[in-house]
Amino acid sequence: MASRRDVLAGGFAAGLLGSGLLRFGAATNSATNSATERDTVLITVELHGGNDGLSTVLPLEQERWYQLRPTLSQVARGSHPLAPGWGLHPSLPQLAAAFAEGELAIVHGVGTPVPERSHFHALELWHRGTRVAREERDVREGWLGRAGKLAGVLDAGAPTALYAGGDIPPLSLYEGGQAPATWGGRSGGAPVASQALAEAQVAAAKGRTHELVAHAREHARRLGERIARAEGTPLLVPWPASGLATDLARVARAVHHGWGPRVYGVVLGGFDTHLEQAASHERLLAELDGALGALRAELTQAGWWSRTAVVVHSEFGRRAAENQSRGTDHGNGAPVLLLGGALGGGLYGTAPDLEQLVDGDVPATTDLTHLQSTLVSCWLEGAGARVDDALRRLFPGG
Amino acid sequence: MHALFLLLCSHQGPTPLPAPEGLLGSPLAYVEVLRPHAWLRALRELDLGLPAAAADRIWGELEPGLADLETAVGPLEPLMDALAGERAALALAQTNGGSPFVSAVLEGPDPAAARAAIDGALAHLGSRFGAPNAFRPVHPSLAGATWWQIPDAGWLVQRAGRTYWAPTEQPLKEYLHADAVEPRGRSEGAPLVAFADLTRWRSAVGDNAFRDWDLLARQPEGLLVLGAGLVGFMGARTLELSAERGAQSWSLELVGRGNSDPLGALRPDEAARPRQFLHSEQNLASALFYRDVGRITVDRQRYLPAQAAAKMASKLRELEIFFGGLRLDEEVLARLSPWLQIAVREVHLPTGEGPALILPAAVLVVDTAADDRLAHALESAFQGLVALSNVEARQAGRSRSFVLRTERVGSVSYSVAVPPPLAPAEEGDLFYNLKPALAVTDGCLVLASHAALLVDVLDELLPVAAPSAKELPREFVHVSGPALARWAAPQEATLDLLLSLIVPDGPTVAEWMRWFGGGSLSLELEYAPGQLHLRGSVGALESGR
Amino acid sequence: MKRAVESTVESTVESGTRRPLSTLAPARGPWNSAAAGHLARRALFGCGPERLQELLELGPKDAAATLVADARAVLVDPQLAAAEALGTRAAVEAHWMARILAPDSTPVGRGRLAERIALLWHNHFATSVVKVEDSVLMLRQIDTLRRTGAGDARAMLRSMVQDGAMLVWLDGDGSRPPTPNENLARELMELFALGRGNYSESDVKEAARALTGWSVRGRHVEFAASRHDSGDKNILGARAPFDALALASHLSEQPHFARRVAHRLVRELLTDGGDEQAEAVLEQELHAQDFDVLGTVQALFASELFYDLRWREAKVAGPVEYLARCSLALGVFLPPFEVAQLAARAGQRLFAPPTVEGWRGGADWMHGSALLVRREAAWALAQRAASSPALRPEGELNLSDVWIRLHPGAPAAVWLDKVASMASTASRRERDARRILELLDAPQTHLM
Repeated sequence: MASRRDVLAGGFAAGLLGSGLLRFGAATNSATNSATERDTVLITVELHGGNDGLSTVLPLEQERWYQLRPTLSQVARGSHPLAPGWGLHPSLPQLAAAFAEGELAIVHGVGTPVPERSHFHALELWHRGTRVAREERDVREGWLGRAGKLAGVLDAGAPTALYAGGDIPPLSLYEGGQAPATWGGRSGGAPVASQALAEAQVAAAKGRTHELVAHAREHARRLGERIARAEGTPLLVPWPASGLATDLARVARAVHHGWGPRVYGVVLGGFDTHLEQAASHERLLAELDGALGALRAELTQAGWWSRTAVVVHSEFGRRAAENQSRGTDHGNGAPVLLLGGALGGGLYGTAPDLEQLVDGDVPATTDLTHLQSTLVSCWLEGAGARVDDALRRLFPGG
Repeated sequence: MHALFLLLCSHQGPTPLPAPEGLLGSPLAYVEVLRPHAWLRALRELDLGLPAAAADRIWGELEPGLADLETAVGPLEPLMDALAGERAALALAQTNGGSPFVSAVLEGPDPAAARAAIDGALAHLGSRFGAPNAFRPVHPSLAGATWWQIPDAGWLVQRAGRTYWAPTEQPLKEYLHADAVEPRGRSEGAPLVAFADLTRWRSAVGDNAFRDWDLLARQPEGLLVLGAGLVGFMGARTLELSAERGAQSWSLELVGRGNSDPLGALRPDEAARPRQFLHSEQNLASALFYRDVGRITVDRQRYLPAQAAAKMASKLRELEIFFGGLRLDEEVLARLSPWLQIAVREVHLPTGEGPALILPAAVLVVDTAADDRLAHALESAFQGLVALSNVEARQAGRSRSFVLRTERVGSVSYSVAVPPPLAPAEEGDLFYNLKPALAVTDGCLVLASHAALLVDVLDELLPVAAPSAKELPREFVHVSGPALARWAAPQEATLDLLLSLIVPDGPTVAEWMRWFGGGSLSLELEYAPGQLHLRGSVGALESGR
Repeated sequence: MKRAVESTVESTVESGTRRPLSTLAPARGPWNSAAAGHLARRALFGCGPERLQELLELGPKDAAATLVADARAVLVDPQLAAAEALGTRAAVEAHWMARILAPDSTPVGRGRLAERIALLWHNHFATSVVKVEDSVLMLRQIDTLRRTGAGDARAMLRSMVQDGAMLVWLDGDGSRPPTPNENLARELMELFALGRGNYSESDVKEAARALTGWSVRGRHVEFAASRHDSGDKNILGARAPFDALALASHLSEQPHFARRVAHRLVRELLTDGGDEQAEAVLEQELHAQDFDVLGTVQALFASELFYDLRWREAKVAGPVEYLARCSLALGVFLPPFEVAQLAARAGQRLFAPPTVEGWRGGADWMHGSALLVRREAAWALAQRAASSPALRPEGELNLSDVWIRLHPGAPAAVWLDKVASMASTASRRERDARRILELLDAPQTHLM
């Protein structure tokens, strides 16, 4: 087990996560959790640009918050209550409902020990899940890709990770230098090749490279077949019409259809709100809420929700004080949202205290890479373990 | 081909067309083309009244299909010459109590040649299936005509140089037995005409078939973008179209008669009194539209279905924050004149201040009953929208934003959004074509994509002219070839590159300008009593228009 | 693998310049359409049958000379100013793609080796517009690489230390004493000029000092002596007040530089993984040619080494290579804007390599989604090809002809019958398009 942990978690300090986590053998609270270990699915929603945590999970009873953010703290009006002193941005009603039903967990203060202020480097660290030496820099691999590979698939021959989106997938889903399967952009591409022809081509291959290509094409052909089949699946609930919703609807179809991958990723960009944050942040969070709400409804109806965990996070948070242009600059610690039917909701981690800022930022009290490895080992690997138990053990402050 | 229109443009509107000879049943709609084989030849010789490279592309797309057809029935041009040398017509018709059917009639110059052509084509088709005699006539002589039946493809009948086609025997029998002597079809007039009796067509096929068109008339997109006039064509009783190809031009006319009209109130009842621009001959394009935005938004319950009206209401509310407390529908839009004037013109910028590729700027001029409060609201709306676009650009990762300023020319002050300054001797990219500006002055709102054009126009505007009492209300779009050529010439290399990246082997800028540079594009919609009249033309017209 | 010691290629006198004598053994093996096709694919991304016939008739030595002469004729881009005027990222990508896809009958098409070399250097000095942000700076960098990368490689290195896009990408922009940024210096040594292990950390620090003083304002590159560390620096055993140009010259005089250039040439033109022996041979040739890149490439294309059977169709085509090869072989073209997008979705967005190490190529290109995008592109091409009169001179589509265009000199694939007898669908055009699609998306077509 030790070597697997190392591979999974890369740079996390030895011993912090100890073997304690991996003792979650039996299901601690079976209730609605009828999942078998191999059936769980992890969906990540990456928010690119640096989501402002202090405008997402609102510290409503901290005087300092109102002082540091005269304009941006106006979102307090209309916010949805979470727990005493905490609320959710007004644009997140469906997430608030999920919290009330114990299906949303929020981990406070996730970030890097030393703040990484450049998008470039922060994205790299976040996606790889570990710092790499310069010699290994050209190996394209990310934490989700590795996780998908180790977790295995639910259907023989399925890809180990799927990116739903039309552009180039984020590094997090790469595995061993390979990009994940992608499903996005315009549908209705080329006709799928026939199996007989593909097999004949594989058989006729001479030479190592030729074989490599022929096999790769056969994989692609099967992927194309899966996509063609899944495209036709009707959705069970009404979905909003946004970019993120389209991508998550494809994920829902793939999950529901038993496609096979256990790891999925989607991206929502535009969170780099240095200027006039209020209006655009509101729009982005509304898109997020609508899409996640529909995903939750859809997977619940399809009977998959209790086996699904959705992680929503961003490369860094933003500074506690607003800047001159009614926006915010790059910061550090930020909340990570975890959604799922069998997660057990609540607030975890050390809540940000705006009287105790480090250099103007909310400090990172939980290392991002530790959280990533916890999720992977508990959710994808742990036999029926509930993530909330793991989180409680990891973050006793919650 | 000479431009001799059968339709006359009189105050009463053009007179209706006579129906083509030889149509079966009672036509609901038809299309008639004179000398169709000449079109095919013009296509082959790239003599289509378009730049040669454009015609070449069209030919490239069609040629394989025509080649396929030729392998089936033999050489096409002599076939068309013999069968349809005079004219061809396709119709959707109805017999008494029957359901609608499609039929065709072709008229050739010489009966013997027409008969030989059919025999030859059918023999060729038959030999493709290995049976050259498969298609002998079923009735060699019935009602003075020869009858062939093509399995699964209907009936062909030929009489005295005229060839008919219908899917079943019945309408052919009815027509041919009715009268043995037929007048010749027309050989003069507009080379392409079409007609539709929308009232009867709707009752024959049911309104469902027209549902999409009808819906458009009740959508904001239809009413605001296309306008009540264009959309209203679908509510006419009859439609007539005629089209014409000149040596270097195309033109068409479309008349809608007998409009029964829920949208009547959204149409102009008197001619516009547009503002004149002193230097209007410099315009690359100019347009005049009638869009009664005020009435559509204020009376939205009446013109739109409930859901669209509700969506519009919430959209209006969202935008109201930009207008400083005024109600957008009643207090802003209703006080703008429904006549919208648009002009597009080159701006001349000092070097080092503009983009490397200079696009023409556009300006919108609308009369308003504006008091100070409305003027102020319009300006602050402009500024608010510019600020919002800055924010969105930043979120999307684009680092350029506008700076808002107020400037003055003469006694008029205007708001302008200025892009970030360029380093000395540097040229900006396409973004620098935008320097939006807005002024409200003298009962008039002027909004331009570039402040330089705004300043020119403010200088040039003359007081409103009174129209002639006898003039009919008219909307139009006009694009000037010479002005466009003047704009394109100094930037030909860049425009050529851009064109080549989109359409790799199409006409170059020089070829387009050779075709269009001496002519114009013109579209006009005229509101005559009980009629809508649309006229359009493009290219270099021969003298006389 | 034999290595010739004697020089056997005669020098030709061209307008007063003497061509150096090559150290590579000239090609002696069978010269046939397979060999000509191999040359066309590696040098030109591929070509149509007429150009192939031309190369075949010239023989390897003259064909190589022609390709190089044609390339030298089009090193200057006459539409550069127009492309800068358009300025947007999509336009600039489409512009380069249009040069890559130029038909064989045009000068740029004949000189397509220039684009192949430009792409090669783009993958070496891998700079990404994602950080640089200004597409015009990237356009200018590729233009510089096209021009200088065809000539003296040492001059090319010098041009890159003053290139605006490069300075922004590797943080040379604004680097000044007392704490200069080391990024550019490190990559210069590690990736561009010397290779790992051929320099020390202190060399990097000193080189960083030499590179100070440069900045990029808008689109102008400026050097300010006041922000330059003008003291003596100790770099690779030499002590002098190096500045950026002097540093570049110094690096290019190191023995490892020629090897590094040879390594790149072998990786891009011979085999994905590189080859020690081939690199050694090319290193020697580079010296013999006094670092002239096109001269070296000409010698390579005329050499026995190049036509070795183990390199044939053994290199995985990248998206740009694949799309260009299909288009050029069939003579059917999609709009450059569209092709640039397809290449991006398949994993190779021009001007945006994933890291400073460029696209690794080889098996990296061959994952499911990228192959599906290639198939989508192949479908678009196949539909156009199905209506192209050039592919059906007698009216009917001949699949063997299409195969030969794509794979000259290769035996017909055993599964071609399967394609020919595929169930026919609605229209003849659709059926032909589906058949052409299977040829375009065959495994061999993804190999260069």
